Amino acid sequence: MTWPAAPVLAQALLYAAMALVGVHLLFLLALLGVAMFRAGRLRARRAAAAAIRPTLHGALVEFLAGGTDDSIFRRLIRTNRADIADSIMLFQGTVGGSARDRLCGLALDLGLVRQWCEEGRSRDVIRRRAALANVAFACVYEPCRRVAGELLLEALKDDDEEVRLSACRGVLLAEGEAQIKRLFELAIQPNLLTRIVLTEDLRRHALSLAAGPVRTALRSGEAKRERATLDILVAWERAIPIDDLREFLEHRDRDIRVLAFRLASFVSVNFDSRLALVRSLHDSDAGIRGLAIIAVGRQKMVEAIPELALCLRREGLQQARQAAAALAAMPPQGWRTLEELSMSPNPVTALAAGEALKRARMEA
Amino acid sequence: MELRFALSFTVVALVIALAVFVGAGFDALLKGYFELRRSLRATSYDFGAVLLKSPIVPGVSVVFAAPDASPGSRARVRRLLDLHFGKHEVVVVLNAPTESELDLWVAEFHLYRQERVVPEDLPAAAIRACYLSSDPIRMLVVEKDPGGVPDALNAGVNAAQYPVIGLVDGEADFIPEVLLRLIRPMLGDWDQTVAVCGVAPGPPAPGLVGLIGAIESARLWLVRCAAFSAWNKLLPVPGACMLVKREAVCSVGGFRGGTTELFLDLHAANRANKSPWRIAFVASPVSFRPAAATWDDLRRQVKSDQRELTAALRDLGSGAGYEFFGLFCSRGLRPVLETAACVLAVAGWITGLIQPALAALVLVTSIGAGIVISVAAVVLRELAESSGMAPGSLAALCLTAIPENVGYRQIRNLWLIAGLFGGAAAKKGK
Repeated sequence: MTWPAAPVLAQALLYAAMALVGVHLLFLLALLGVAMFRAGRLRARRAAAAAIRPTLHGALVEFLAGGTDDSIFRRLIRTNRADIADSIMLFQGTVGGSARDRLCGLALDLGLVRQWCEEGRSRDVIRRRAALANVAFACVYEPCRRVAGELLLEALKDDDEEVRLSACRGVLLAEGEAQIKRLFELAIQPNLLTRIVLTEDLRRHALSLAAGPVRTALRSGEAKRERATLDILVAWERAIPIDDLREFLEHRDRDIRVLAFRLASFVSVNFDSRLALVRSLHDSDAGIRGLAIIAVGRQKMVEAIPELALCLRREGLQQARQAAAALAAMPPQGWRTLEELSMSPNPVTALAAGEALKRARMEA
Repeated sequence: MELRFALSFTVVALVIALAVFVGAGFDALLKGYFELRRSLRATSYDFGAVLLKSPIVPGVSVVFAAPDASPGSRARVRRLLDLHFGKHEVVVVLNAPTESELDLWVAEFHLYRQERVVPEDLPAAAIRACYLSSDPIRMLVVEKDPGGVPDALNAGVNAAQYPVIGLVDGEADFIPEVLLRLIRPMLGDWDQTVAVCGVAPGPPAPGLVGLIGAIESARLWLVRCAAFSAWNKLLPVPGACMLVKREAVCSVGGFRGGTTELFLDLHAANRANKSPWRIAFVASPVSFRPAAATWDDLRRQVKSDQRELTAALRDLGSGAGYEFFGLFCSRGLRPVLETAACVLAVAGWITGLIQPALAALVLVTSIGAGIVISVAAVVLRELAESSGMAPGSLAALCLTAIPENVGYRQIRNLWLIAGLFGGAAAKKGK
């Protein structure tokens, strides 16, 4: 670069930079126009919705309470379709039985179900999600199911997780036993969200599942499937017949053991499993010992009273309290043991036993 | 002649460096915009009601290192106790409280002492006592020997009973459902997602300061949250709420500073183990930093953020330093170079040592490009997700880019430089 050329070059660079900044600014100003237009439209739509929603909600409450006047919905369906759909869906969690059927029937009469079914096949994932969530709810009502056809089953294979979850919920609410096994298989896959959502909906099929798919999964020999199945059983909190819990109480995977002990608190356990529970009161893992104490207490296993008393003498305050609570759940032998232990020279034992006994007597 | 040449050459070099920063900044904004769109579209329905009830959802222990027993600290604990979640506890760590401070906590939450064995998974000062509340609230108070904030956080993690640790930035304002929203990415990919960070820009405060603060928030959200998340280099920003797996915290040896240091350690461990760990970003409005309403607020926010970042980045090894080199350049190097360029350009132009065109080029690269970046941040933020602002307010926000870059930007550079050296001094003092 020669010196005389410098001013020219600097000027050229300046003009280039100004042009670059100017072009970017112009482009951004155009985008700003779009953003302002969108913001204005959104605000107007929100204001209109806020004005009409109370009227719609009031009319829906009357309709669901047994009223027959649906004229307001028919009048507004052309201009406020989205607001009516949103209002209907707002009530989905609050109604059941015939009121739910009336709600779904209204959606069907207004042509919303057909619209949701069409949108359920949209390429836009947001639209598809919203539509499938609505269809899943509406399909509780048989006439809506006929309109939806195979949509829910097709959506089970969708790429989007939320769409699949909505479809699963819809299928669980609407379809017969045939699909339940398939959905249980889906629930024991690694995705925790799918498991959580489906566990809740599978709960009412717990007994039929326990006889087949649950047993198969527990005998699969795959730790992940076993853990997931136990997770679901624990979440159901139902007294489901389990063949042999012992195998899981003594499993090498700690997570599986923890779940098995939690399950042992509310399912019926056989002789082998009871022995395993008593053995576990001497486990080297303090966490497992704590869970075993709780399970033994819940099962009211009188034969384990000597071991519980030992726990009360040996363990720290936290687990001594659990052991004392377990003993308190087994009157009269458990209470007698607590009376003896409340006189113990060991302050932890005496404190835990005394507290538990006092509480048990008060509750009695 | 030689001075003239040297000065011109220096200014040209500075202009080139600034242009590179502007290009990188614009690229990061675009990256952030696309990531925000992807992230906001990825979750539309939060399954909140199901997650609230399900016993399968892992429990969360929210750890709070109480700085004092002031009404503010106690109110914060109350807010944490009010969070909506199925299985959560609040672990409050009191760092060697005085008797009167402890009495205040005991009286406020009806605490009683409980004998408890706290695991020593992480190094922390000795625990003096644990307290539970006789009220129906899930709260554990840990009283410990003196130690810094990292020590208190480590003690909190040790005492936590659940597998997920919740952390809330000191400045964060959050919604009660924050834990329900943050846990969602973890549930979707439990094995790989070790941490989640959620934050969104808050509503702007009125006035020029509020508008400038809003532009800063938009830039921060797009670049340091969304773009960094897209590069899997997400670090917590002021006003964020976080979830971190307890075992991940233990695997990196716990806290050695604040949350920024923890996240840097998680990234470093991820790189060293070649494990596909992921730190997820929740872009929905679950938590935000209250908008600055005065110049003092703005200065305090800028300087404290800069100090924290500097302190965290200074401790990185060469490998990790390379990972966050861009962040270091934009926060540490750019203000220094830009200030130097402006001073040299003005001085050179006044003394006639550099061409007026070259001096103007500095202004265009600094101020002109700054305005472009600010307007882009506002527009891209609005296009990614509507802020609910009126069209007129949006236009006003864009116009604020002018005073923001002519005047405030230069002062902010000085604050950033002060924060840079403040952070370094604080680290040295430690």
